[in-house]
Amino acid sequence: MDSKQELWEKALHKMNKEGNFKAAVLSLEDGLPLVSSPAHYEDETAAAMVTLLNETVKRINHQLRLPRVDEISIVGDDRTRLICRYFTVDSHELLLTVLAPPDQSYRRLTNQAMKEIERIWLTQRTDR
Amino acid sequence: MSSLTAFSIPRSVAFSMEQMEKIKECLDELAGNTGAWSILLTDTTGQLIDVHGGIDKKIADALAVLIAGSYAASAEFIKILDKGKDAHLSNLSLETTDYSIFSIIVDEVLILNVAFENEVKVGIVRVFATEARHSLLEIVREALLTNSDAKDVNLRFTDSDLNQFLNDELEKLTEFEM
Repeated sequence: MDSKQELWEKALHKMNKEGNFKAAVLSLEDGLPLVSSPAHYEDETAAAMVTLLNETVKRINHQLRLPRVDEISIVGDDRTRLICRYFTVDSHELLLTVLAPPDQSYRRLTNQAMKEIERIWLTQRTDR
Repeated sequence: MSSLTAFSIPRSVAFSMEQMEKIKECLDELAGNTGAWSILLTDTTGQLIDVHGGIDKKIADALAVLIAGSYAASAEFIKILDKGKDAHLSNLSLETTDYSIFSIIVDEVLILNVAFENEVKVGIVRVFATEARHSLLEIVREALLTNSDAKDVNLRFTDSDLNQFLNDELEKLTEFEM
């Protein structure tokens, strides 16, 4: 049976394929990567950079008393978009970071992937 | 003025058959979740509790002693860094070219050592080893209540008097009644 990492990699790979995304990284809030697709993407650097961004968001959120952030999106001048989706699974704060090509819709695909990640996380192994 | 050095004597705990079954289930689940190459559960006195994966039992027994030594050294190092505050070591991480080892401490009694290939992300191992620690913690606390008479033992040595103290004790042991 596949490990959680393998199952999550498959979920990210499927999302990337459907959305033509360049890369996706699932990481913990503190910057430790859990999985990435492609597997050898610079996930450690990406997760660490996104954590820096996350710190800024937290401060803005606190100072302006905003509700919990759901998404951060950074768009380059070529319309390439870096999306960070925030979600919680089993009391772990997770970040799904996706690099999407210009003018590509991403909400539905990232929502689906987040649901699949949660499902995999909460699935107990049955082959004991 | 002499300084005092306190050494904690590691606690040993005995597990019942039922508790060992729970431990096995916990290690199986951790192995499945992480794809770890091998998992060793040892205690801080150097005993092997259980092994999962590709390590021979004899080698695992020897490793358990070395792991306990390494843990003791690291724990003392942390105490020195923390300048006498009540610091506790929570995990250790080692990386090599192809494999890494992540060790997590359970209530200063058990050491859960996960060896994994570098394709496996350390984040995955950390998350699921932490979950396994919660399960093991329950088992350890139950075992300490039911199966063990182990109590926290602390030895206190006065640095400058250590040699004298040991000599006196040795003399007492070898003294003959005339």
